[in-house]
Amino acid sequence: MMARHLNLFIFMPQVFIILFSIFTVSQCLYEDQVGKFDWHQSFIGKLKFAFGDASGKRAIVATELNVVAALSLKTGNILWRHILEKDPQTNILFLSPTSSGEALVVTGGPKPLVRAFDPINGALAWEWTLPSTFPFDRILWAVSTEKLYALSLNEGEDFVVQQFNIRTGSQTSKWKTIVPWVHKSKCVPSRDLLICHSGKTLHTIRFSQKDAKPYPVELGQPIAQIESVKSGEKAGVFVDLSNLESGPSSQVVLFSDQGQTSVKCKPLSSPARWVFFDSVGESNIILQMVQRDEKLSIVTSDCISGNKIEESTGGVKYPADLGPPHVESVVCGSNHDMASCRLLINSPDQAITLVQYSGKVLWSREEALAQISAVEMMDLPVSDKDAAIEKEFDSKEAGVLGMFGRRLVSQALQAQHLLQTVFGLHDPIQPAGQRADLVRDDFGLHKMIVVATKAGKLFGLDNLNGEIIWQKALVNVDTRSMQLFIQRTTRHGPFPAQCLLLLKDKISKESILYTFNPITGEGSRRSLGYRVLQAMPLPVVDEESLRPILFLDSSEKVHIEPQSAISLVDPLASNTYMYVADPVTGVMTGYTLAQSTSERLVASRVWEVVFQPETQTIQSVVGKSPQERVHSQGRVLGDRSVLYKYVNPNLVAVVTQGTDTVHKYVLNVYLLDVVSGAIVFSISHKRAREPIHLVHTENWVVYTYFSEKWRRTEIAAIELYEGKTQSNSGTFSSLIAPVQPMVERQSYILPAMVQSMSPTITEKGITSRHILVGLANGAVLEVPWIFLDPRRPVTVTPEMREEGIIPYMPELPIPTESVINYNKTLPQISGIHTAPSGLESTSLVLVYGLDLFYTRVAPSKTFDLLKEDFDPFLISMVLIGLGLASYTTKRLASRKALKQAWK
Amino acid sequence: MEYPKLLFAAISLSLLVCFSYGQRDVEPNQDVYTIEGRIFPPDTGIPPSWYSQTRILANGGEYIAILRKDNSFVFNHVPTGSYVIEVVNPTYSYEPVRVEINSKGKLRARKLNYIQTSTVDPVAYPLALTPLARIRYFQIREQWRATDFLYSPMVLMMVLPLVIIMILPKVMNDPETRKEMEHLNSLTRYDMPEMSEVLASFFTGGEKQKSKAVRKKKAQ
Amino acid sequence: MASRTNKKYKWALDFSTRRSSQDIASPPGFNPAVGQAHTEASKENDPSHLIIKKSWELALAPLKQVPMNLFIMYMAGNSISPFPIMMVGMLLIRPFKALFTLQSTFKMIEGNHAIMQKLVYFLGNIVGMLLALYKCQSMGLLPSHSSDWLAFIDPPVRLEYSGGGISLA
Repeated sequence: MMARHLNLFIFMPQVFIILFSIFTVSQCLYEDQVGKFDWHQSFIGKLKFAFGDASGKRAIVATELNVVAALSLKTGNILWRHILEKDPQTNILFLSPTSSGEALVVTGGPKPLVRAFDPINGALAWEWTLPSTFPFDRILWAVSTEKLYALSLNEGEDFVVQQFNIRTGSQTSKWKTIVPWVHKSKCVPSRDLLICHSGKTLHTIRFSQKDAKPYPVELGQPIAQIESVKSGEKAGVFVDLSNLESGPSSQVVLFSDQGQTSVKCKPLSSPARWVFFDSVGESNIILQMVQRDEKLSIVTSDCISGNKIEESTGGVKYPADLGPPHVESVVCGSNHDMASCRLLINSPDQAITLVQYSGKVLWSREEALAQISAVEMMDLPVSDKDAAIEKEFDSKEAGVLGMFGRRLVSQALQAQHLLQTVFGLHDPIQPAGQRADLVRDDFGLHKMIVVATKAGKLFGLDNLNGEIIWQKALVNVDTRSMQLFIQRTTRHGPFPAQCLLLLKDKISKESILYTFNPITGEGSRRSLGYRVLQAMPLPVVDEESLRPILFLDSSEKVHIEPQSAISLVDPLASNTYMYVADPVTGVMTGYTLAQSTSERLVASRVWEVVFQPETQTIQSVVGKSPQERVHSQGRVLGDRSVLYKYVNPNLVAVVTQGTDTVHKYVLNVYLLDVVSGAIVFSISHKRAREPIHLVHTENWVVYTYFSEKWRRTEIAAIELYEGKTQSNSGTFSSLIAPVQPMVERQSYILPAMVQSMSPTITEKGITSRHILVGLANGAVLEVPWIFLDPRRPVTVTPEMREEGIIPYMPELPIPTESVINYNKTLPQISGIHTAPSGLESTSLVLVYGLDLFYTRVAPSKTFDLLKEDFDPFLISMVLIGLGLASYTTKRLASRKALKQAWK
Repeated sequence: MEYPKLLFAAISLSLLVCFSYGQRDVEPNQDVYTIEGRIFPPDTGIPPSWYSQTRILANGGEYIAILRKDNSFVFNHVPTGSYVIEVVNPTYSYEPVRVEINSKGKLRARKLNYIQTSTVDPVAYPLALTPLARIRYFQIREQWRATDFLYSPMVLMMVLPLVIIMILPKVMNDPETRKEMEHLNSLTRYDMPEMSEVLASFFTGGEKQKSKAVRKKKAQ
Repeated sequence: MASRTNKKYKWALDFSTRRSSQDIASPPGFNPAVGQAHTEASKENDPSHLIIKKSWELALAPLKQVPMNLFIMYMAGNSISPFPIMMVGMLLIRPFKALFTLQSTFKMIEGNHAIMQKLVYFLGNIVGMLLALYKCQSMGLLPSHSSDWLAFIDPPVRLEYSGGGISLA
């Protein structure tokens, strides 16, 4: 009967039934699971402008990442946030409070705008456009009494003032003032004054008034830099003086409204950061941040006399080599009591800190995390007890008796541990410098997220709650091409885990290695003395379980780190290949190490593929994750035969974007074997342009592009198969008789814009793989591979149904249940990192961008875990109850039988 | 006569559209336009984070408009082209709209259709966007219901035999029904030769003959 | 059976049959065949025949199950769900069990046709098993295709190692 039943499925409803079943199968979250496995942190980016609003409760900030936000001064949390256009040319040029309290923001670039935001809820108060022909790089902005001033400076000649109505944007007047001392880098506006320096002189002019008179001030010492005084009661500048004899010093000069000098404070040894104006007299107070050793303290002194008034007793921990901090704003209480003042400090490592006048840190935000460039998830070290048990298996030379003794000891330890956990006692002794809870759990779900940011700051985050365990700022580094390698995991006995970060020196551009322990963050920095073109971890480990890493430098020499591992390379050298793609010349070059000797490593070119830079430029080169494992070597078809996968570990996907006179945009995808240099497959899309995102795993490649022809995002999948027989099941070599794989391909419409894409990864590769797609609307979508399958047919045969293929539909659905970040919208997603956990079913996901979002996904559901709502108590109660019931009924039955027998 | 005219118009329009979209790069002296609209907040009232969490994106963030207090929005500096306007809010979903600005600066809004990109399903301009629904991100936990439990096939399969076992003997005790049953039984009784019987007699048949013969011999 | 039991006695006096049947002619209307038939009928109830019959019943039991099994197989369908699996399991386990307890079953078979019956019993079980296997095959439970061994294929060992990417310079 059931067999008959199946045949009914031939009709259309089948599609919906299958789809429905897939959605219910795919991972969905229950509402009560919110925040159970996931956390979300919001960031704003490096602070550019800030001011405390009139209420003293919030600070309005604008950042390098084009974010305008309000921060709560109490907690440091974001009250509201607006992410403006993410355009490389667009940037926030100016932020200022208006007289009615709104936050006025000027953005430049091709779409220049003036916007004002309501400080309380972030609603747009008004917005008007500026002409895109404005010379933004020569303009200084100022706000004064309902007017916005744009001062465009013509170096050494004059400046043009354009006055706008702040609300409507109508230009009320425009005039030109001829003064020879204006330079964009040497001038600052302060209140209504334009203050410039040249040599030893400060020049001031009132810009808000036509035909104003300039005033010069002689300081007697050469001026290095000036900065405007922002605490608005008087115009003024902080002057950094460079004196050859007595070293650098600092001075504060204040001016009257017309530009005449009103106060010249006494020069100070360290730069002044803020001026507190005394509302009564002329006794203005200067605030300085003085750095001593690893601490910052707040020093106040009198302007005129230069006498120290107070020095904060506390002091903020601050690395000595970081560079001077910047006081963005000082927010005081309404009663003008200095003790209630709080300083908003912006440090060069992109941290924002609110410090009380007494030196106490109220909160701190690590904005470096808004720009992550490399992520790794590391296992935590095992607890001491587990380590003792593991040690047992290390020494194999111990005799039977010795082994037995050790086994007894470790069993006793385990028993003790068990008792301790049962009775809630915990061993207070923990290894130094390590937190008690930072140990590996049974399922490998607790990990350390190691993050390298564009600011050059490294973080270790606890993956369970996002807490920063350690942080380390690297200074004077160029972080544009950073690579993070794991040299040793935590699974290697007495040796600590080790990671290696490859970056460049800011000045010399030579490569730097930062070798560190990913659990504690302690490490050392070393300059290599050459420029690394590419790096490659070796597939072996040395006697200290350290994975050596090969570096190819710009003169095509090969180096190895650590140096001692050179002997390990010798047997491998003939089979080791490296490749470098140069997007400038469009050349991809393959090198072999075959000519190396046991003393010296030599790289020699073996192949070269040229992508003509006139017609196309290399956008990205995507290889396979070295962590990845392919469990199944084939795909079972409907007739139960096998289609063997073409799993070439040396295959990389090269994406090039070309321009064409006919089609305008041409997108090419090449699958290239980097050992032989052979192009296995290539495909070209006409009128397809960026954003292009590509995922390359197992035997398939998935990429998205924008189709200019149809004006929609399309997602294409390519699958490679060897065919119905496997050419060589034992070994894979790219050189020996390479097979031309069968190629299946198909594309779909994705009704959204893609910002990032990444496949899930699990430990053994048994679990089916899903693709996580970060969308422009802030959702991270979990798309099952079955939806992108290139074998989805238009008409389904019963065999295909047997295989579990769903019929082709041009548009992929975006079910909101598959959004893994539910209502936590993630703006500007720049990457998705996935890592395997100890559970085969579960993959750990970190989505980064402006925000951080961590969660875990189970593409094939958590088949290796008991259900969350599994109640062991209920089950045991039911079992006991059933046992009792059966026992009593047995007794009753026997009694009844006895009674009946006596009748 | 009407048909070819329409066709011609459609072709020329699509050509025009093609040419205008080819030019993506914003030239400084190119004319720029504004796209205006209004969002209707959900009927349940404006949530506290409404203004900061509602983002209006054109082409996935290429252009951004920020909501005003009166729930209107404007995209500025927009050159000719085609734009997908979507309202992003974490709690409520809105339908995206495609807005096209032709080279003469005329705006046209239509329903977004990714599959049949040429179909024009006009939408009022300036845009007036109403919330479609509250977004459902979560699965609803299955609740234990007695009816579901009872009607599940497993339970039915277990319970029915139990009922039969419990009730049938009681029914059988009733003398009338028993008589009826017997009657039924007698009706259904039929004479079918048993297989084993047939085989036994078939194989023993030879022996019988033999024994008969023996007996006959003995008799003689 | 009677003839055999008679042989057990050393001597016997028989007054009834001999003379009347041989010497004296049968009375009119007497049909010896009737008596013959009667003895025949009584023979069928005799213990030895019953044993053979019972043994045959036993031997044929597995074969008798075949039509029923076929019906069950048809009912079960080809989907892999608990009930069909249970049914197929029963189908498969029963003949297996029977084959394993062959000795004890054979002890019960007596009579002249024991060998034949044993053979029939054995074949019946084999047929039952084959049917069950056929069912398994049609349900796709038998590892008869290369796809069934796919999970055991190890990934090929890579001979070359490669690494690199876009130039960092």
